[in-house]
Amino acid sequence: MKSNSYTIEEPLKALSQLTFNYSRDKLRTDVAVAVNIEQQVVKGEPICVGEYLSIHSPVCGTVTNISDTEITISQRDCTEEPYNLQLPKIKDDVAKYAAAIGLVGMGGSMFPSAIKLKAAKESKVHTLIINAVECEPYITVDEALLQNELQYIQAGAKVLSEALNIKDVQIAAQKQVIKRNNELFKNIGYKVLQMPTKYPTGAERLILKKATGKNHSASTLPFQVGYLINNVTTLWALGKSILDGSPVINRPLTVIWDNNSSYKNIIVPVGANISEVLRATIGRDVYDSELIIAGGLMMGHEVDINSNIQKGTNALFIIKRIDHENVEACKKCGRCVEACPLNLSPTTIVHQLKQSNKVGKYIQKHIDTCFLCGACNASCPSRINLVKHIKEAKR
Amino acid sequence: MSIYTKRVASYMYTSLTDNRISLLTFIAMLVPTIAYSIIIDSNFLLRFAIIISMGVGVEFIYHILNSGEFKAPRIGTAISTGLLALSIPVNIPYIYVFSGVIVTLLLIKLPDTTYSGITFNPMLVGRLFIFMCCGEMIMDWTPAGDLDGLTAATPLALFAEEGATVPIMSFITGTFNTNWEDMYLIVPSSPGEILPVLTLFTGAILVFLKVIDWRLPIAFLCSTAVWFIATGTPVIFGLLSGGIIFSAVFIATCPTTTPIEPKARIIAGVLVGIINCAIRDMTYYPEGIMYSFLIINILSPTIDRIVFSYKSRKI
Repeated sequence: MKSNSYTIEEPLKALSQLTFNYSRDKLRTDVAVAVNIEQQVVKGEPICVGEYLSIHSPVCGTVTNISDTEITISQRDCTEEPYNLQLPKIKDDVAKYAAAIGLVGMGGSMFPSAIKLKAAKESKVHTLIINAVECEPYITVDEALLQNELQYIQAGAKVLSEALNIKDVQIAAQKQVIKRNNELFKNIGYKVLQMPTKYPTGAERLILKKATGKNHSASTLPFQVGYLINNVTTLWALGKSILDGSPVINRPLTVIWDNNSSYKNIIVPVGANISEVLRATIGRDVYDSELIIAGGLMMGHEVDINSNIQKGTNALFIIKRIDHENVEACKKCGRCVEACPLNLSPTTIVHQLKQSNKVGKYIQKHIDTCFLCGACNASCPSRINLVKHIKEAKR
Repeated sequence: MSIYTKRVASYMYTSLTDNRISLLTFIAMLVPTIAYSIIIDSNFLLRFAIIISMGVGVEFIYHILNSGEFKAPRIGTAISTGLLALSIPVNIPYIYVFSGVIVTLLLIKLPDTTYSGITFNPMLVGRLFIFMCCGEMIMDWTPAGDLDGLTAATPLALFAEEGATVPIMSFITGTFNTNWEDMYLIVPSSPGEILPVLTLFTGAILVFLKVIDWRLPIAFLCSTAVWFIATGTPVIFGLLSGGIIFSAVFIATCPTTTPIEPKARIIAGVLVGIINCAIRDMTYYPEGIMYSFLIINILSPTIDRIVFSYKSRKI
């Protein structure tokens, strides 16, 4: 995993079927289905359209199923040209453009970019920060994109800064990544924000702190202080739409297997079946003794092998499954407090939550501030799932 | 890498588990134990094993009486009773030691009092009990075996009474049995305190391995050093004499009985140093270390609460 260069492959040549979840819970905005059952679609054709988001078919196919939450498309052989998407001019309305190409936060949040960019335009942001700080262990897709697809990232950053009248573009990356790609960062043409090589330095709040030199409250969003922070993959997708005219139909991600000793950076169609992606990438089936984690070892979640690639899926891990939990009582060692990037007190929060449902204002402040990075969980020698309790309290 | 299912987040963990921390602490504790056995008294290793066996036996019976289950004894029990063995003179009869073990385990260690408010260091409570039972004996530092001379007090007590110091080299080699004014045999306190330099080195390794936190011990040593400078006590001699280093490495680093917040640990460390020196210099009480840590055990939740409130205002 210490190689200086990363490649990106496109291993999937053919897919049986693709599934898209269009529920509000998943997308965080409303969309309307734009296709019917049995309808034949071509690559890039919208299948769901909404004010802030659209979903497009990444392949030539036939709509085989439309349920309350999902649309399924079966791939078919075709020689037809990709769909001719009529896009608004990005300079005229950046939010509308983002919605039309189906742009979301591709670092993992999947928040519709149209909403974010609309707010950014109204707030007159002055600085765009390209977030290339992939701090989750073993994930290298951000670095691979910088090395192999820089032209798309730069195109995305350029049109976005022009559309929002942004004068200053910066790129944030981990110290180790900057060191490994010294020439690239020297000639990139943006001010480089060097973040420590430590989890979770890729968190938006920590990048904002680094850029502004100030601590901001949990409720402060970057655009409120003049900053727009976008993930490198989001800008890559935007750049793709500018240079290739393609909406967001593909997703770059890292696949890691064999106890984190093997990996590949790949670009796959959104909606692709995870089992097909894994079979094409690692060349074998996933064993029953293994677990698939989407997103990362720190903040990711277990996914079913028959689920699908989302626009926010930045990594797939195949790890060994252990079905027991050996949780011990808290020894008050304070390692979670030290690990917390926001200087919160996870063990005190959880202890208070266990004591009573009613929490004081300071505990509430800690709960609201926590962004569930999981650093406390990872550092706990007693294997206490602190994040689970805090997540429940947030609800 | 250990992976657990049914979790919300984090599929990656530190390899430093509670058991590993306890095991490394126990191994570190063996350093002064073996050193004392080699340099002063070869029987001490057996005594150490007997006292730990007492603890293991008490825990075994406790679990049977408490839950009717046979449970494997924890390493923590061996640590508490082992520390007790290292912190009391070797001449204390086993019956008193056993009473101390019972108090250590049944009163504090085995009932889970981690979050019930104030938690005392189990070993210190056991030691306090022995001190109350046989105060004179706990102050008698006569080594086991035949003697060629009379015994006197510890180096610190001698300094307090006579202004006499011992060569710093003695703290490195552990060979204190030189005649002082041709009359007294100086024997440096309990087995755990005989090689402070070695103990300090062991502590540094534990800090490096992240087994213990550095804040409280360092703050404790610094505030003690400042006090020594202010009162004209030779700093190196003062720090290496008595139980300062031993307690800094093995007592100040007990997480359950000291504050959680990093800044609270520094405050607690400073307070331990001040209280310990104040007891030594301004009262007639011996055992400054024991009382100062017990006082800090009481104050820990309060210090934590103050620091937590202060930092919460800034979040």
